[in-house]
Amino acid sequence: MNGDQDNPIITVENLMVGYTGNPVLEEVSFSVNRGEVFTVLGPSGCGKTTLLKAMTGLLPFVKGKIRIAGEDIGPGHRRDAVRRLRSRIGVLFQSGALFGSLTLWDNVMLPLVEFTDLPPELIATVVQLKLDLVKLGKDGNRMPAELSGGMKRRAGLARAMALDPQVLFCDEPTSGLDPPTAVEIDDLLLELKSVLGVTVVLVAHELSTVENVSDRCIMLDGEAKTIIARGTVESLKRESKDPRVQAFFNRKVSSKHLEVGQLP
Amino acid sequence: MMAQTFFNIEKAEGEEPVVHLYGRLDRDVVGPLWTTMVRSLEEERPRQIVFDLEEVAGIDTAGAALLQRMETFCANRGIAFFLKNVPYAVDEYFQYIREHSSETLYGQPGPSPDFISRLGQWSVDKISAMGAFVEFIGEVTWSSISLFGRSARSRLYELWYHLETVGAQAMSLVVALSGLMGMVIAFQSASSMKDFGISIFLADAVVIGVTREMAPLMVGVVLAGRSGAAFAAEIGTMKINEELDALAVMDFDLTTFLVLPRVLALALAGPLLTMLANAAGIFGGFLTAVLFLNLPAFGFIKEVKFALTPVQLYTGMIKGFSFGLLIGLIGCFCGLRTGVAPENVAKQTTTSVVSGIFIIILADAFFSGIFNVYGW
Repeated sequence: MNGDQDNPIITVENLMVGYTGNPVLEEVSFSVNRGEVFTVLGPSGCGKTTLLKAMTGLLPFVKGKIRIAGEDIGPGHRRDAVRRLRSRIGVLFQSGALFGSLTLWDNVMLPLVEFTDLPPELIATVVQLKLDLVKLGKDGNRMPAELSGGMKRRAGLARAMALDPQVLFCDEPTSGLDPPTAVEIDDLLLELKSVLGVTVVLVAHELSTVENVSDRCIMLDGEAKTIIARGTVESLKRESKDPRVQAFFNRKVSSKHLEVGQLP
Repeated sequence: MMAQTFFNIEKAEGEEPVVHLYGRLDRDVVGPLWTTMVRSLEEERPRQIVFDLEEVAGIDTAGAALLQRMETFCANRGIAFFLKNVPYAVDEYFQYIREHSSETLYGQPGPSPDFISRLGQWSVDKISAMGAFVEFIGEVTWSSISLFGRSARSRLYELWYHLETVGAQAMSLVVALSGLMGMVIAFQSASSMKDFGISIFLADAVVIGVTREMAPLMVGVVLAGRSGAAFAAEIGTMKINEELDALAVMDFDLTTFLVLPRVLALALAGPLLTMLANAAGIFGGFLTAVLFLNLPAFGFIKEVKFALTPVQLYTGMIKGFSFGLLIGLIGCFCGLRTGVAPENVAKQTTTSVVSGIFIIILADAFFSGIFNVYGW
């Protein structure tokens, strides 16, 4: 499923982030369709996380336009647009960013208590459901410090999904995880997309995750400071002639390290 | 956007009630629906209830939670619960949620322990912390003895660095606080002394008050708030970042490497800062006496010379040294006891300041008693 193509939920136009004269990113334009998994690819330091921060209203940008779920944010727009936007998005941070002094249960419950009028019985049920969905149903009373990296990531996902956001932003959701745990996260993201209809924007450099879940992607480059390729993962992998794109997808050691007689 | 009307309870005469739902069954609407349903079901106790979802356009987790919870609620009261005309999308969502749901609320916090249990736990924690502190003092003593061996030279640089941070950089603060304290003592003593016509003894009051008591105490408070807290936070953060583990696997002795330079720096800075505080405090008293209380400057200085005996200075410096040592030990101890969770750094930092200030006042009382016994 590639989402609803006529009805983009996110449009970014001529975005420039950083400082005039010394931008981190410039001339970035793309759109994300409703219900798709959209990936922002690129090597470390190319500005992926910066782009994510600009899209979630955490980082003010110099010029350009970002429109997410009907809200325009950026220079010249009111602060309350960002606040309205935040009730419709969820963000899964790289580390999970759980509140260390609260149990998992309380971490997931916090946004529900703060931003909804649900009665306590239903809040409890929703929290349990969210934890069940990320397979942490029985771990609600544990503290974040007691969890492994993968569990923290899943708990972060449960909290990001607490208010049933329309768009879920994930910053490197599987980096540093072992393959089976990473696949669990990939599965969860796909389920969110297909069953709950969530649009997922992924920032990643883990190729396996990108290949598993993403419908379309763009690739950023640190030197060009803008998008250097766009399309499906397959098309970038097979058709792109750009050496930077090829270097990203084909991980090979330098030929000087190969033994004589060994096929490259 | 919130749906206009979102539910309607239809109840024909002699028949069981049917609840018609409209629009999106989401978190904006399920709160009132739940409250109404619970109230009317408790009152009327029908044999069955039917939810007609034909007009439902969408559902979110809160909506699914309502349906699920309602099912349990009815089952517990012997009411048959049915869903009718469930749209495909809603059914798919609800089924997905049900498949993954464990139904038991595992993580919901239970009742908090009673007073006696909490008191017991608190006592056990405190006693074990005290035991660990005694052990820690032993370790520090042992490594300070072994310091005279190979690594003394490299530790000297560390000591110098910390002495600058905890001592030299705290000078302005100590001067300001002690100067003000000297002024306060002068003002406070002035009125009562004037009544007896012994205003010139103001100098004695300032000298004794500052050197024996206020100067070391002020230094202690400054060191606890500035340096003890910094040590706890610094070492605590290193623990969170696994830097302590890194040092340990490289076979560094944490006590020698991290604790000793800091504790020694504070123990040295204590008496040095106390000397500075003495000067500032007496000068503050002098300014007050001369500028505001019209006492003769020469007479004040003469009286200070008379009152300022070596014993006054030594007692203050002994206190300054002990306070520095205690605060250094407590700061490092709290830092090393930081748990793995980042928020523990804040907790241990607070503990180091609170315990530091408590213990220097306790030590102050102890020293005052000892000095009194020996007539110092």
